[in-house]
Amino acid sequence: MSKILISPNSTKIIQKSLKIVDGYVVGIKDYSINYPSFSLEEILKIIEFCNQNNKEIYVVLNINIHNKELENIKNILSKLNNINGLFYYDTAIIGLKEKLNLKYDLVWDQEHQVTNYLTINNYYELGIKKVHLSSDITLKEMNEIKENTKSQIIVTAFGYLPMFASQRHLIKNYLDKFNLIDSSRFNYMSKEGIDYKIIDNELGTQVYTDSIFSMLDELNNIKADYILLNSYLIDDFEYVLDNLNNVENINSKYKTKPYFKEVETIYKVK
Amino acid sequence: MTELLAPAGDLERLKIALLYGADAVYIGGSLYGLRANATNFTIDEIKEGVKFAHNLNKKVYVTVNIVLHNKEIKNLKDYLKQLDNCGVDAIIVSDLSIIIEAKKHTNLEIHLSTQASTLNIEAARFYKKLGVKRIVLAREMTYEEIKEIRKNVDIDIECFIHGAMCASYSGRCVLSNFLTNRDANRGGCAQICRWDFKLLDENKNVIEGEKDFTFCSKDLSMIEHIKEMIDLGIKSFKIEGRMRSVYYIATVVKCYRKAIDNYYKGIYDVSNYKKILNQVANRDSIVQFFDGNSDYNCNYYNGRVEVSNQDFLGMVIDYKDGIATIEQRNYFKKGDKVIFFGPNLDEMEYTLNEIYSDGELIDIVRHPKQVVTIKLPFKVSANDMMKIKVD
Repeated sequence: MSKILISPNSTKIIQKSLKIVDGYVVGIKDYSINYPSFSLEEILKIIEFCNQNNKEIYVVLNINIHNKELENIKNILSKLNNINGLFYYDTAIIGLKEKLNLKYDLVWDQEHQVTNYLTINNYYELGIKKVHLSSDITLKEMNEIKENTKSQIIVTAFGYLPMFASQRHLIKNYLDKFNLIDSSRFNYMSKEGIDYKIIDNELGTQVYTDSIFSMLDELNNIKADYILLNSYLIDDFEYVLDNLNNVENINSKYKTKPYFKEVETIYKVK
Repeated sequence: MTELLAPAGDLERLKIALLYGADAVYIGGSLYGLRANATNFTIDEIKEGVKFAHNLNKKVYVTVNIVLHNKEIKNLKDYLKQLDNCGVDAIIVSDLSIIIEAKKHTNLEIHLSTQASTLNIEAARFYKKLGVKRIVLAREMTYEEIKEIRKNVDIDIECFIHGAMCASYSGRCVLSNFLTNRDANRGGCAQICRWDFKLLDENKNVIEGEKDFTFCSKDLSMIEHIKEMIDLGIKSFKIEGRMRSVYYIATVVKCYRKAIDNYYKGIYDVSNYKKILNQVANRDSIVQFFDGNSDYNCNYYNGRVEVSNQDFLGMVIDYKDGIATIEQRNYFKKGDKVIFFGPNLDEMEYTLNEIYSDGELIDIVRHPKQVVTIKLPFKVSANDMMKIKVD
């Protein structure tokens, strides 16, 4: 049976879920996207709390890293003791782990690139023994990966899925170009009646799926070491925690979609 | 000396790119490339292309830069060995497995694709340790950032200098996957970044600008920064566009060839090349991130009105005794003011007078690839091109 991790959007959620989950995944403010984030001070407290309560704790640092950020990142990485792993995107982190002699595991979390067992096994040989699978592959592919690797596999089973990340400030650019004003916390970009959440913040622009993805009805069929439920952009995540034994309620309330769970992408159209 | 690296979607474009001044070309094979719907090269065509290039002391790189899924693992080793046997000079990769498999089973030189989004010193060092010989840097790099990597990591650097830009960090966009089911990381990108959308506020009210919301970026053009880029010690200048036309490739390659050669002669004025490059473009272009700027001037809000360039009229296929044999590529007619140019021919203007088809005088050349002859008062060569004169 897979362990359950959640990515909480508040310490209240952490408190509420303590008895039902095995661990937490928290983003570092200004250094992570696609996960709820906390300041480093808050994260250090969360780490302490998890250690005291025998819960696993993972921290996310998944931005594309520029040279000017390296020094700050080294400081942050050095302060993260007693965590079960760091979800990373930029390969700079691999070198920094060695340089700083960090004791915690790295979790390969390159979103749309964690898609096959050969590469996962090659990372395993480099010492990276946990991976967070892409949600762009089918459940069948995910299970095939688990059958062919020694790595520990984390699969997202609930949450908005990231579709796009850019350094550009695409909403700001549009507003500036046409002298428009908008103070929304987030926006939507709409095409043919489908609205996609889009956020323009200090880290650039990110775009998410129109609906929440759910594989909660497949928990018995997912061959993963960990299942991740991500609360990012979901204000009433408590409802999810209260209904984990009745996933139909969750899927119905949020009108979730299975996206690529059974549908494989194509790439040749002729 | 800086390498000029051009894209080539097929054998014709490979030959043209090299003849017009590229030092190397990059191509896609039938597998594992990020332009799955381009013409791409069979193994036999790769061999022919490599032979052609090597006869000119030039190079061929093959893109093997997709993100692998499980089912692509099976044929990978054999494919890499085939490329090695073809004599290709390097492969361009992003997936770690392809680097490792290539190192294990072949003698192929490895270049790291821009798809790996290398932006910093530590990442560059990681890949160097893996045996990567050259890194194609992420397109978000500023001048200062490139300079820092050059200073701190002993590895060859390649930068894009011209062509289309992604809106996202490379590898972090799967809009195509979700909106069209076409996998952006395996060569099926449907360019959602160029679509128009309505922008809504958090209450789902439309924010109405003069034009619809889009991610569409202007193209990149570094023609005015060639001196700085050469001074930085960048090993290779990469032109984007394996799906671009033979005319586009010839024009862009020739301009950058001249600009690079002139740099080494101490000539830095590129105003003429800028004008020519603007003529073949189908979108506005700008320097993008190099000068630290990514504001709205980098975006393109004119909608998908990019019109196919009709300037290219014909390809010279032979010249003898004052008569040029020309294969039509777009409609042209008697009286048109045209320009001939080629690898060894700077622009020569001419007004079309007598045009012959099968020995008969004609006024209009309207059929695709129609072959005609024209008497010219100056010498041209096979592979020179004819374009319309634009005032």
